[in-house]
Amino acid sequence: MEVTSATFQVIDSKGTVPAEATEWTARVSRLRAALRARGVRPGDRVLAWLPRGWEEAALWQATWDLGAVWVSVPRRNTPEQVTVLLADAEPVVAVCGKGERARLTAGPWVEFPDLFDSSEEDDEPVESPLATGLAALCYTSGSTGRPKGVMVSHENLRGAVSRMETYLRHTPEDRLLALMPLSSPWGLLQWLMARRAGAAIVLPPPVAMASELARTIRATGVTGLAALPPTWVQLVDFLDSQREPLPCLRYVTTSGGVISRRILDRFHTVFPNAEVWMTYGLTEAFRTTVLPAGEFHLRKGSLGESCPGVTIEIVRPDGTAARPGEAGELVHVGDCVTLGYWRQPEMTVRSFGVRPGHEALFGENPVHYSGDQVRRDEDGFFWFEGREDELIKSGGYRISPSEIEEILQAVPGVIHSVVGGIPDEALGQRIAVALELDDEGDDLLDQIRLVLRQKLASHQQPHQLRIWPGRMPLNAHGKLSRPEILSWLLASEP
Amino acid sequence: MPTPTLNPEKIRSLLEITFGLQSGELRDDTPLFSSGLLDSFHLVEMISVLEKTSGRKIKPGEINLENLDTPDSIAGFLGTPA
Repeated sequence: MEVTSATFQVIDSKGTVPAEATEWTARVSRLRAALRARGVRPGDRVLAWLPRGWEEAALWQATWDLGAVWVSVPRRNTPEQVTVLLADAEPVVAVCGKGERARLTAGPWVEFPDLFDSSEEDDEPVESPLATGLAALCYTSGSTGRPKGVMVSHENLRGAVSRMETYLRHTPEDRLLALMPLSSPWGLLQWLMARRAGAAIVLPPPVAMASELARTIRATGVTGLAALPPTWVQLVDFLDSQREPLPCLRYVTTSGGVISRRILDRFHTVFPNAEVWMTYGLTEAFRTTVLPAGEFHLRKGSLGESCPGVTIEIVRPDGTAARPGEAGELVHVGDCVTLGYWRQPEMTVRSFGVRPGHEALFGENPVHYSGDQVRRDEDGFFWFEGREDELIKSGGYRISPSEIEEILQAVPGVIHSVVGGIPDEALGQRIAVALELDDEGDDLLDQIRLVLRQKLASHQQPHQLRIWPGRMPLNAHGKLSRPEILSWLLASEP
Repeated sequence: MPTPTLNPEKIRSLLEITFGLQSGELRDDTPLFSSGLLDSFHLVEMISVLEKTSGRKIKPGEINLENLDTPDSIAGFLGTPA
Protein backbone atom coordinates (compact mmCIF):
# COMPACT_ATOMS: atom_id res chain seq x y z
CA MET A 1 0.00 0.00 0.00
CA GLU A 2 2.99 2.32 0.41
CA VAL A 3 3.55 2.03 -3.31
CA THR A 4 2.50 4.98 -5.42
CA SER A 5 1.35 3.91 -8.86
CA ALA A 6 3.04 5.63 -11.80
CA THR A 7 -0.23 7.05 -13.11
CA PHE A 8 -1.06 8.82 -9.82
CA GLN A 9 -1.32 12.57 -10.25
CA VAL A 10 -2.53 15.71 -8.55
CA ILE A 11 -4.71 18.18 -10.44
CA ASP A 12 -5.71 21.64 -9.23
CA SER A 13 -9.28 22.92 -9.22
CA LYS A 14 -8.87 24.55 -12.64
CA GLY A 15 -7.81 21.26 -14.20
CA THR A 16 -4.08 21.86 -14.56
CA VAL A 17 -1.32 19.86 -12.95
CA PRO A 18 0.73 22.05 -10.59
CA ALA A 19 4.33 22.01 -11.82
CA GLU A 20 5.63 20.96 -8.43
CA ALA A 21 3.31 17.99 -8.28
CA THR A 22 4.67 16.53 -11.52
CA GLU A 23 7.85 15.67 -9.65
CA TRP A 24 5.92 13.95 -6.89
CA THR A 25 8.47 11.30 -6.01
CA ALA A 26 11.38 13.73 -6.04
CA ARG A 27 9.49 16.24 -3.92
CA VAL A 28 8.57 13.61 -1.35
CA SER A 29 12.17 12.44 -1.29
CA ARG A 30 13.44 15.96 -0.59
CA LEU A 31 10.88 16.41 2.17
CA ARG A 32 11.99 13.12 3.65
CA ALA A 33 15.59 14.33 3.66
CA ALA A 34 14.52 17.61 5.28
CA LEU A 35 12.59 15.82 8.02
CA ARG A 36 15.45 13.40 8.66
CA ALA A 37 17.87 16.33 8.89
CA ARG A 38 15.61 17.88 11.54
CA GLY A 39 15.83 14.73 13.61
CA VAL A 40 12.57 12.96 12.76
CA ARG A 41 12.75 9.25 13.65
CA PRO A 42 10.19 6.45 13.61
CA GLY A 43 7.42 7.16 16.11
CA ASP A 44 8.13 10.92 16.25
CA ARG A 45 5.27 13.26 15.42
CA VAL A 46 5.25 15.65 12.48
CA LEU A 47 2.56 18.31 12.78
CA ALA A 48 1.15 20.31 9.88
CA TRP A 49 -1.05 23.40 9.84
CA LEU A 50 -1.23 24.03 6.11
CA PRO A 51 -3.75 25.05 3.47
CA ARG A 52 -5.21 22.25 1.39
CA GLY A 53 -2.84 21.27 -1.42
CA TRP A 54 -0.20 18.93 -2.80
CA GLU A 55 2.29 20.36 -0.28
CA GLU A 56 0.46 18.94 2.71
CA ALA A 57 -0.07 15.57 1.03
CA ALA A 58 3.59 15.27 0.05
CA LEU A 59 4.67 16.12 3.59
CA TRP A 60 2.33 13.45 4.90
CA GLN A 61 3.80 10.86 2.58
CA ALA A 62 7.34 11.78 3.64
CA THR A 63 6.26 11.43 7.29
CA TRP A 64 4.76 8.02 6.56
CA ASP A 65 7.89 6.85 4.73
CA LEU A 66 9.98 7.64 7.80
CA GLY A 67 7.69 5.65 10.08
CA ALA A 68 6.80 8.90 11.85
CA VAL A 69 3.33 9.89 13.05
CA TRP A 70 1.23 12.39 11.08
CA VAL A 71 -0.71 15.13 12.88
CA SER A 72 -2.64 17.54 10.70
CA VAL A 73 -4.40 20.41 12.41
CA PRO A 74 -7.57 21.55 10.62
CA ARG A 75 -6.93 24.78 8.82
CA ARG A 76 -9.95 26.49 10.38
CA ASN A 77 -8.51 26.08 13.87
CA THR A 78 -7.32 29.31 15.46
CA PRO A 79 -3.61 29.81 16.34
CA GLU A 80 -4.60 29.38 19.98
CA GLN A 81 -6.13 25.96 19.26
CA VAL A 82 -3.07 25.03 17.22
CA THR A 83 -0.95 25.74 20.29
CA VAL A 84 -3.05 23.40 22.41
CA LEU A 85 -2.62 20.54 19.94
CA LEU A 86 1.08 21.29 19.57
CA ALA A 87 1.57 20.88 23.31
CA ASP A 88 -0.43 17.66 23.29
CA ALA A 89 1.21 16.00 20.29
CA GLU A 90 4.77 17.19 21.04
CA PRO A 91 5.99 17.02 17.45
CA VAL A 92 9.66 17.08 16.51
CA VAL A 93 8.79 19.25 13.52
CA ALA A 94 5.73 21.48 13.01
CA VAL A 95 5.07 22.91 9.55
CA CYS A 96 3.05 26.03 8.71
CA GLY A 97 2.53 28.07 5.56
CA LYS A 98 4.77 30.79 4.20
CA GLY A 99 4.83 33.88 6.43
CA GLU A 100 2.76 32.27 9.17
CA ARG A 101 5.39 31.49 11.76
CA ALA A 102 5.07 34.89 13.42
CA ARG A 103 1.39 34.23 14.22
CA LEU A 104 2.23 31.09 16.17
CA THR A 105 3.71 30.62 19.61
CA ALA A 106 6.97 28.85 20.34
CA GLY A 107 7.50 25.39 18.96
CA PRO A 108 9.57 23.54 16.36
CA TRP A 109 7.90 25.55 13.58
CA VAL A 110 9.24 25.67 10.07
CA GLU A 111 7.54 27.33 7.11
CA PHE A 112 6.86 24.85 4.32
CA PRO A 113 9.05 26.45 1.61
CA ASP A 114 12.03 26.38 4.00
CA LEU A 115 11.91 22.59 3.99
CA PHE A 116 13.31 22.84 0.46
CA ASP A 117 16.34 24.91 1.53
CA SER A 118 18.57 22.00 0.76
CA SER A 119 18.10 20.39 -2.63
CA GLU A 120 19.29 17.02 -1.39
CA GLU A 121 17.17 14.00 -2.07
CA ASP A 122 16.86 11.19 0.43
CA ASP A 123 18.96 8.16 -0.47
CA GLU A 124 18.35 6.11 2.65
CA PRO A 125 16.03 3.13 2.43
CA VAL A 126 12.37 3.69 3.21
CA GLU A 127 11.21 1.43 5.99
CA SER A 128 7.97 -0.45 5.71
CA PRO A 129 5.95 0.62 8.73
CA LEU A 130 4.79 -2.04 11.16
CA ALA A 131 1.16 -2.95 10.74
CA THR A 132 0.30 -2.06 14.30
CA GLY A 133 2.54 1.00 14.34
CA LEU A 134 1.02 4.41 14.78
CA ALA A 135 0.36 6.22 11.48
CA ALA A 136 -1.49 9.34 12.61
CA LEU A 137 -3.14 11.23 15.43
CA CYS A 138 -6.55 12.48 14.31
CA TYR A 139 -7.93 15.04 16.74
CA THR A 140 -11.59 15.09 17.61
CA SER A 141 -13.77 16.83 20.20
CA GLY A 142 -14.51 15.02 23.41
CA SER A 143 -17.27 15.52 25.95
CA THR A 144 -14.82 17.12 28.39
CA GLY A 145 -13.95 19.88 26.00
CA ARG A 146 -10.34 18.85 25.68
CA PRO A 147 -9.44 17.65 22.15
CA LYS A 148 -8.46 14.01 21.95
CA GLY A 149 -5.89 12.61 19.54
CA VAL A 150 -7.23 9.36 18.14
CA MET A 151 -4.31 6.98 17.56
CA VAL A 152 -4.72 5.58 14.05
CA SER A 153 -2.53 2.60 13.12
CA HIS A 154 -1.27 1.51 9.71
CA GLU A 155 -3.39 -1.58 10.11
CA ASN A 156 -6.51 0.56 10.71
CA LEU A 157 -5.87 2.44 7.47
CA ARG A 158 -4.98 -0.66 5.49
CA GLY A 159 -8.16 -2.40 6.64
CA ALA A 160 -10.32 0.58 5.72
CA VAL A 161 -8.75 0.89 2.26
CA SER A 162 -9.50 -2.74 1.45
CA ARG A 163 -13.07 -2.41 2.78
CA MET A 164 -13.71 0.71 0.72
CA GLU A 165 -12.12 -0.69 -2.42
CA THR A 166 -14.62 -3.57 -2.43
CA TYR A 167 -17.31 -1.07 -3.41
CA LEU A 168 -15.54 2.04 -4.75
CA ARG A 169 -13.26 -0.02 -7.08
CA HIS A 170 -10.94 2.79 -8.19
CA THR A 171 -9.06 2.61 -11.50
CA PRO A 172 -6.43 4.88 -13.10
CA GLU A 173 -9.31 6.65 -14.92
CA ASP A 174 -10.76 7.93 -11.65
CA ARG A 175 -10.51 11.49 -10.40
CA LEU A 176 -11.27 12.01 -6.71
CA LEU A 177 -12.13 15.44 -5.36
CA ALA A 178 -10.12 15.83 -2.13
CA LEU A 179 -12.68 17.66 0.01
CA MET A 180 -11.88 15.62 3.10
CA PRO A 181 -9.02 17.13 5.11
CA LEU A 182 -5.82 15.24 5.93
CA SER A 183 -6.65 15.73 9.60
CA SER A 184 -9.36 13.07 9.26
CA PRO A 185 -9.00 9.36 8.50
CA TRP A 186 -11.22 9.76 5.46
CA GLY A 187 -8.91 12.38 3.97
CA LEU A 188 -5.93 10.08 4.44
CA LEU A 189 -7.83 7.16 2.90
CA GLN A 190 -8.75 9.12 -0.23
CA TRP A 191 -5.09 9.84 -0.99
CA LEU A 192 -4.04 6.28 -0.16
CA MET A 193 -6.67 4.85 -2.50
CA ALA A 194 -5.78 7.27 -5.30
CA ARG A 195 -2.06 6.54 -4.99
CA ARG A 196 -2.59 2.81 -4.93
CA ALA A 197 -5.00 2.78 -7.89
CA GLY A 198 -2.96 5.30 -9.87
CA ALA A 199 -5.98 7.60 -9.96
CA ALA A 200 -5.89 11.41 -9.82
CA ILE A 201 -6.57 13.63 -6.84
CA VAL A 202 -8.35 16.87 -7.71
CA LEU A 203 -7.66 19.67 -5.23
CA PRO A 204 -10.78 21.52 -4.09
CA PRO A 205 -11.43 25.16 -5.02
CA PRO A 206 -10.33 27.70 -2.38
CA VAL A 207 -13.89 28.01 -1.14
CA ALA A 208 -16.28 25.09 -0.86
CA MET A 209 -19.28 27.03 -2.20
CA ALA A 210 -21.64 24.80 -4.15
CA SER A 211 -21.21 26.90 -7.31
CA GLU A 212 -17.42 26.59 -7.12
CA LEU A 213 -17.55 22.88 -6.35
CA ALA A 214 -19.83 22.24 -9.32
CA ARG A 215 -17.51 24.26 -11.56
CA THR A 216 -14.46 22.27 -10.44
CA ILE A 217 -16.19 18.90 -10.74
CA ARG A 218 -17.31 19.73 -14.27
CA ALA A 219 -14.04 21.33 -15.39
CA THR A 220 -11.85 18.49 -14.18
CA GLY A 221 -14.22 15.57 -14.77
CA VAL A 222 -14.32 14.36 -11.17
CA THR A 223 -15.61 10.77 -11.01
CA GLY A 224 -15.71 10.20 -7.25
CA LEU A 225 -17.06 12.58 -4.63
CA ALA A 226 -16.97 12.04 -0.87
CA ALA A 227 -18.49 14.73 1.35
CA LEU A 228 -20.25 15.48 4.62
CA PRO A 229 -23.95 16.40 4.99
CA PRO A 230 -23.70 20.23 4.75
CA THR A 231 -21.99 19.94 1.37
CA TRP A 232 -24.68 17.63 0.04
CA VAL A 233 -27.46 20.00 1.08
CA GLN A 234 -25.82 22.99 -0.61
CA LEU A 235 -24.68 21.11 -3.70
CA VAL A 236 -27.98 19.32 -4.36
CA ASP A 237 -30.00 22.53 -3.88
CA PHE A 238 -27.64 24.41 -6.18
CA LEU A 239 -27.53 21.82 -8.98
CA ASP A 240 -31.28 21.28 -8.84
CA SER A 241 -32.05 25.00 -9.01
CA GLN A 242 -29.70 25.44 -11.97
CA ARG A 243 -31.04 22.30 -13.68
CA GLU A 244 -27.42 21.34 -14.18
CA PRO A 245 -26.72 17.75 -13.18
CA LEU A 246 -23.19 16.38 -12.88
CA PRO A 247 -23.06 13.37 -15.21
CA CYS A 248 -19.30 12.86 -14.80
CA LEU A 249 -19.65 11.49 -11.28
CA ARG A 250 -19.39 7.70 -11.16
CA TYR A 251 -20.03 7.52 -7.43
CA VAL A 252 -20.91 9.73 -4.49
CA THR A 253 -20.32 8.64 -0.92
CA THR A 254 -21.31 10.27 2.32
CA SER A 255 -20.98 9.93 6.05
CA GLY A 256 -21.01 12.09 9.15
CA GLY A 257 -24.66 12.40 9.99
CA VAL A 258 -28.23 12.26 8.87
CA ILE A 259 -29.21 13.85 5.56
CA SER A 260 -32.84 14.87 5.10
CA ARG A 261 -35.11 12.94 2.73
CA ARG A 262 -35.75 16.13 0.76
CA ILE A 263 -32.09 16.09 -0.29
CA LEU A 264 -31.64 12.31 -0.66
CA ASP A 265 -34.69 12.11 -2.94
CA ARG A 266 -32.95 14.32 -5.51
CA PHE A 267 -29.56 12.57 -5.56
CA HIS A 268 -30.39 10.69 -8.75
CA THR A 269 -31.63 13.82 -10.52
CA VAL A 270 -28.46 15.80 -9.93
CA PHE A 271 -25.99 12.87 -10.01
CA PRO A 272 -27.64 10.86 -12.80
CA ASN A 273 -24.79 8.37 -13.36
CA ALA A 274 -23.59 8.00 -9.81
CA GLU A 275 -23.85 5.05 -7.49
CA VAL A 276 -24.70 6.28 -3.99
CA TRP A 277 -22.77 4.73 -1.11
CA MET A 278 -24.01 5.87 2.30
CA THR A 279 -21.62 4.97 5.10
CA TYR A 280 -21.07 5.31 8.81
CA GLY A 281 -17.98 5.50 10.94
CA LEU A 282 -16.23 7.48 13.65
CA THR A 283 -12.70 8.76 13.94
CA GLU A 284 -12.23 5.99 16.52
CA ALA A 285 -13.45 3.25 14.14
CA PHE A 286 -13.82 4.54 10.61
CA ARG A 287 -15.62 3.51 7.42
CA THR A 288 -17.15 0.44 8.99
CA THR A 289 -20.61 0.23 7.41
CA VAL A 290 -21.95 0.78 3.93
CA LEU A 291 -25.39 0.83 2.39
CA PRO A 292 -25.01 -0.93 -0.96
CA ALA A 293 -25.84 1.40 -3.85
CA GLY A 294 -28.54 -1.01 -5.00
CA GLU A 295 -30.30 -0.65 -1.64
CA PHE A 296 -30.25 3.15 -1.58
CA HIS A 297 -33.81 3.57 -2.84
CA LEU A 298 -35.21 0.92 -0.53
CA ARG A 299 -33.43 1.98 2.66
CA LYS A 300 -32.78 5.71 2.34
CA GLY A 301 -31.45 7.07 5.61
CA SER A 302 -30.00 3.77 6.82
CA LEU A 303 -26.38 3.66 7.99
CA GLY A 304 -25.95 0.48 5.95
CA GLU A 305 -24.66 -2.92 7.05
CA SER A 306 -21.30 -3.99 8.50
CA CYS A 307 -18.51 -4.06 5.92
CA PRO A 308 -16.86 -7.45 5.36
CA GLY A 309 -14.47 -8.18 8.21
CA VAL A 310 -16.03 -5.64 10.58
CA THR A 311 -17.82 -6.70 13.75
CA ILE A 312 -20.45 -4.37 15.16
CA GLU A 313 -22.58 -5.15 18.18
CA ILE A 314 -25.65 -3.28 19.40
CA VAL A 315 -25.56 -3.64 23.17
CA ARG A 316 -27.86 -3.00 26.08
CA PRO A 317 -26.44 -1.28 29.18
CA ASP A 318 -26.21 -4.68 30.94
CA GLY A 319 -23.85 -6.01 28.29
CA THR A 320 -26.23 -8.31 26.45
CA ALA A 321 -26.85 -7.97 22.75
CA ALA A 322 -29.96 -6.06 21.68
CA ARG A 323 -32.57 -7.92 19.64
CA PRO A 324 -33.22 -6.90 16.02
CA GLY A 325 -35.28 -3.73 16.03
CA GLU A 326 -34.23 -2.82 19.56
CA ALA A 327 -32.08 0.30 20.03
CA GLY A 328 -28.81 0.04 21.93
CA GLU A 329 -25.30 1.48 21.88
CA LEU A 330 -23.27 0.71 18.78
CA VAL A 331 -19.93 -0.90 19.66
CA HIS A 332 -17.13 -1.64 17.19
CA VAL A 333 -15.14 -4.80 17.86
CA GLY A 334 -11.80 -6.04 16.50
CA ASP A 335 -9.20 -4.72 14.05
CA CYS A 336 -11.26 -1.76 12.87
CA VAL A 337 -10.88 -0.18 16.32
CA THR A 338 -8.13 2.45 16.64
CA LEU A 339 -5.53 2.33 19.41
CA GLY A 340 -7.14 4.78 21.84
CA TYR A 341 -6.61 8.43 22.75
CA TRP A 342 -3.06 9.78 22.73
CA ARG A 343 -1.73 10.14 26.28
CA GLN A 344 -5.22 10.07 27.81
CA PRO A 345 -5.45 6.72 29.60
CA GLU A 346 -8.61 7.56 31.57
CA MET A 347 -10.57 8.69 28.57
CA THR A 348 -9.26 5.73 26.62
CA VAL A 349 -10.54 3.30 29.24
CA ARG A 350 -13.91 5.04 29.26
CA SER A 351 -14.49 4.58 25.52
CA PHE A 352 -12.15 1.70 24.59
CA GLY A 353 -12.36 -0.44 27.75
CA VAL A 354 -14.76 -3.38 27.98
CA ARG A 355 -17.34 -2.32 30.58
CA PRO A 356 -18.09 -4.48 33.62
CA GLY A 357 -20.66 -7.09 32.67
CA HIS A 358 -19.75 -6.88 28.98
CA GLU A 359 -16.91 -9.43 29.12
CA ALA A 360 -19.06 -12.31 27.93
CA LEU A 361 -19.90 -10.48 24.71
CA PHE A 362 -16.51 -8.95 23.90
CA GLY A 363 -13.90 -11.08 25.67
CA GLU A 364 -10.41 -9.68 25.12
CA ASN A 365 -11.16 -8.03 21.78
CA PRO A 366 -10.43 -4.36 21.14
CA VAL A 367 -13.69 -2.42 21.40
CA HIS A 368 -14.92 1.13 21.03
CA TYR A 369 -18.20 2.35 22.51
CA SER A 370 -19.59 4.89 20.03
CA GLY A 371 -22.09 6.72 22.25
CA ASP A 372 -24.50 6.42 19.31
CA GLN A 373 -27.89 4.82 19.90
CA VAL A 374 -28.57 2.58 16.90
CA ARG A 375 -30.93 -0.26 16.02
CA ARG A 376 -30.30 -3.13 13.62
CA ASP A 377 -33.30 -4.20 11.58
CA GLU A 378 -34.25 -7.81 10.72
CA ASP A 379 -32.11 -7.67 7.55
CA GLY A 380 -28.98 -6.45 9.33
CA PHE A 381 -29.18 -2.76 8.36
CA PHE A 382 -28.38 -0.11 10.96
CA TRP A 383 -30.52 2.95 11.71
CA PHE A 384 -29.41 5.93 13.78
CA GLU A 385 -31.61 6.75 16.80
CA GLY A 386 -29.72 9.42 18.76
CA ARG A 387 -26.76 10.30 20.98
CA GLU A 388 -26.23 9.24 24.59
CA ASP A 389 -24.22 12.27 25.63
CA GLU A 390 -24.54 16.01 25.12
CA LEU A 391 -22.15 16.21 22.18
CA ILE A 392 -23.53 18.27 19.32
CA LYS A 393 -23.12 16.98 15.78
CA SER A 394 -22.94 19.99 13.48
CA GLY A 395 -21.76 20.03 9.91
CA GLY A 396 -20.32 16.53 10.28
CA TYR A 397 -18.19 17.56 13.26
CA ARG A 398 -18.55 16.62 16.90
CA ILE A 399 -18.82 19.76 18.99
CA SER A 400 -18.29 19.75 22.72
CA PRO A 401 -20.74 22.03 24.61
CA SER A 402 -18.37 22.19 27.58
CA GLU A 403 -15.49 23.43 25.42
CA ILE A 404 -17.65 26.40 24.36
CA GLU A 405 -19.07 26.90 27.86
CA GLU A 406 -15.58 27.06 29.41
CA ILE A 407 -14.66 29.87 27.05
CA LEU A 408 -17.90 31.74 27.73
CA GLN A 409 -17.50 31.42 31.50
CA ALA A 410 -14.13 33.15 31.25
CA VAL A 411 -15.66 36.30 29.72
CA PRO A 412 -16.21 38.96 32.42
CA GLY A 413 -19.94 39.64 32.71
CA VAL A 414 -21.04 36.09 31.85
CA ILE A 415 -22.63 34.49 34.91
CA HIS A 416 -23.82 31.21 33.39
CA SER A 417 -23.90 29.66 29.94
CA VAL A 418 -25.51 26.54 28.50
CA VAL A 419 -24.72 25.31 25.00
CA GLY A 420 -27.01 22.95 23.11
CA GLY A 421 -27.88 21.65 19.65
CA ILE A 422 -30.98 22.64 17.72
CA PRO A 423 -32.16 20.57 14.73
CA ASP A 424 -31.09 22.04 11.39
CA GLU A 425 -31.47 20.63 7.90
CA ALA A 426 -28.17 21.79 6.49
CA LEU A 427 -25.95 21.17 9.50
CA GLY A 428 -27.76 18.38 11.35
CA GLN A 429 -27.67 20.57 14.42
CA ARG A 430 -27.09 24.25 14.97
CA ILE A 431 -25.20 25.46 18.04
CA ALA A 432 -27.30 27.60 20.37
CA VAL A 433 -26.22 29.34 23.55
CA ALA A 434 -28.28 30.51 26.53
CA LEU A 435 -26.53 33.17 28.58
CA GLU A 436 -27.11 34.73 31.95
CA LEU A 437 -25.32 38.07 31.98
CA ASP A 438 -24.77 40.62 34.71
CA ASP A 439 -25.46 43.40 32.23
CA GLU A 440 -27.69 43.36 29.17
CA GLY A 441 -25.60 45.67 27.03
CA ASP A 442 -25.00 44.95 23.35
CA ASP A 443 -21.36 45.74 24.02
CA LEU A 444 -21.05 42.62 26.12
CA LEU A 445 -22.60 40.48 23.37
CA ASP A 446 -20.17 41.94 20.84
CA GLN A 447 -17.32 41.21 23.24
CA ILE A 448 -18.53 37.62 23.62
CA ARG A 449 -18.66 37.15 19.84
CA LEU A 450 -15.14 38.49 19.51
CA VAL A 451 -13.80 36.10 22.15
CA LEU A 452 -15.57 33.14 20.54
CA ARG A 453 -14.05 33.93 17.19
CA GLN A 454 -10.57 34.22 18.67
CA LYS A 455 -10.78 30.97 20.58
CA LEU A 456 -12.91 28.64 18.47
CA ALA A 457 -12.81 27.31 14.92
CA SER A 458 -15.57 28.29 12.49
CA HIS A 459 -17.44 24.99 12.76
CA GLN A 460 -17.62 25.50 16.55
CA GLN A 461 -19.06 29.02 16.35
CA PRO A 462 -22.50 29.30 17.98
CA HIS A 463 -25.26 30.26 15.57
CA GLN A 464 -27.47 31.80 18.22
CA LEU A 465 -26.73 33.69 21.43
CA ARG A 466 -29.81 34.12 23.60
CA ILE A 467 -30.06 35.93 26.89
CA TRP A 468 -32.00 34.13 29.59
CA PRO A 469 -34.49 36.49 31.20
CA GLY A 470 -33.43 36.87 34.84
CA ARG A 471 -31.72 34.08 36.78
CA MET A 472 -31.20 30.62 35.31
CA PRO A 473 -33.01 27.81 37.18
CA LEU A 474 -31.02 25.48 39.46
CA ASN A 475 -31.77 21.85 40.28
CA ALA A 476 -31.89 20.24 43.73
CA HIS A 477 -28.10 19.93 43.79
CA GLY A 478 -27.68 23.63 43.17
CA LYS A 479 -26.45 23.03 39.63
CA LEU A 480 -27.88 24.59 36.50
CA SER A 481 -31.02 22.82 35.34
CA ARG A 482 -29.69 22.04 31.87
CA PRO A 483 -32.76 20.19 30.53
CA GLU A 484 -35.02 23.15 31.29
CA ILE A 485 -32.59 25.62 29.71
CA LEU A 486 -32.07 23.43 26.65
CA SER A 487 -35.82 23.11 26.06
CA TRP A 488 -36.12 26.89 26.35
CA LEU A 489 -33.47 27.22 23.64
CA LEU A 490 -35.42 24.82 21.43
CA ALA A 491 -38.71 26.62 22.07
CA SER A 492 -37.31 30.11 21.49
CA GLU A 493 -36.28 29.14 17.95
CA PRO A 494 -37.31 31.92 15.54
CA MET B 1 -42.71 48.58 2.88
CA PRO B 2 -39.56 49.06 0.84
CA THR B 3 -36.56 47.22 2.24
CA PRO B 4 -33.74 49.49 3.36
CA THR B 5 -30.82 49.53 0.95
CA LEU B 6 -27.77 47.79 2.27
CA ASN B 7 -24.72 49.73 1.18
CA PRO B 8 -21.20 48.28 1.39
CA GLU B 9 -20.56 50.11 4.64
CA LYS B 10 -23.58 48.53 6.32
CA ILE B 11 -22.60 45.12 4.96
CA ARG B 12 -19.12 45.54 6.39
CA SER B 13 -20.31 46.33 9.89
CA LEU B 14 -22.94 43.59 9.70
CA LEU B 15 -20.27 41.02 8.83
CA GLU B 16 -17.84 42.36 11.42
CA ILE B 17 -20.45 41.95 14.13
CA THR B 18 -21.64 38.55 12.90
CA PHE B 19 -18.19 37.05 12.68
CA GLY B 20 -16.63 38.84 15.65
CA LEU B 21 -14.14 40.74 13.50
CA GLN B 22 -12.48 43.93 14.71
CA SER B 23 -14.39 47.03 13.71
CA GLY B 24 -12.77 48.38 10.54
CA GLU B 25 -11.10 45.07 9.71
CA LEU B 26 -12.99 44.79 6.42
CA ARG B 27 -12.77 47.07 3.39
CA ASP B 28 -15.35 47.33 0.64
CA ASP B 29 -13.20 45.17 -1.61
CA THR B 30 -11.89 42.66 0.97
CA PRO B 31 -12.21 39.17 -0.52
CA LEU B 32 -14.09 37.18 2.10
CA PHE B 33 -14.07 33.61 0.80
CA SER B 34 -11.44 33.46 -1.93
CA SER B 35 -8.92 34.79 0.61
CA GLY B 36 -9.79 32.13 3.16
CA LEU B 37 -10.96 34.73 5.71
CA LEU B 38 -14.37 33.03 5.80
CA ASP B 39 -15.11 29.38 5.04
CA SER B 40 -18.11 27.23 4.18
CA PHE B 41 -19.35 27.26 7.78
CA HIS B 42 -19.36 31.04 7.78
CA LEU B 43 -21.18 31.00 4.44
CA VAL B 44 -24.25 29.28 5.88
CA GLU B 45 -24.36 31.87 8.66
CA MET B 46 -23.82 34.78 6.28
CA ILE B 47 -26.68 33.75 4.00
CA SER B 48 -29.08 33.60 6.91
CA VAL B 49 -27.97 36.99 8.27
CA LEU B 50 -28.22 38.63 4.84
CA GLU B 51 -31.68 37.17 4.27
CA LYS B 52 -32.88 38.36 7.67
CA THR B 53 -31.48 41.86 7.21
CA SER B 54 -32.45 42.45 3.61
CA GLY B 55 -35.77 40.60 3.66
CA ARG B 56 -34.73 39.05 0.34
CA LYS B 57 -34.55 35.30 -0.16
CA ILE B 58 -31.19 34.24 -1.62
CA LYS B 59 -31.62 31.40 -4.10
CA PRO B 60 -29.15 28.51 -4.23
CA GLY B 61 -28.14 29.53 -7.77
CA GLU B 62 -27.19 33.00 -6.53
CA ILE B 63 -24.69 31.74 -3.99
CA ASN B 64 -21.44 32.20 -5.87
CA LEU B 65 -18.21 34.16 -5.61
CA GLU B 66 -19.36 36.82 -8.09
CA ASN B 67 -22.24 37.78 -5.78
CA LEU B 68 -20.78 37.21 -2.35
CA ASP B 69 -17.00 37.51 -2.23
CA THR B 70 -16.69 41.17 -1.15
CA PRO B 71 -18.86 43.68 0.79
CA ASP B 72 -19.07 45.62 -2.48
CA SER B 73 -20.34 42.68 -4.51
CA ILE B 74 -22.80 41.69 -1.77
CA ALA B 75 -24.26 45.21 -1.74
CA GLY B 76 -24.50 45.22 -5.54
CA PHE B 77 -26.13 41.82 -5.59
CA LEU B 78 -28.69 42.63 -2.87
CA GLY B 79 -29.48 45.88 -4.66
CA THR B 80 -30.75 43.99 -7.70
CA PRO B 81 -34.36 42.76 -7.67
CA ALA B 82 -34.84 39.10 -6.60
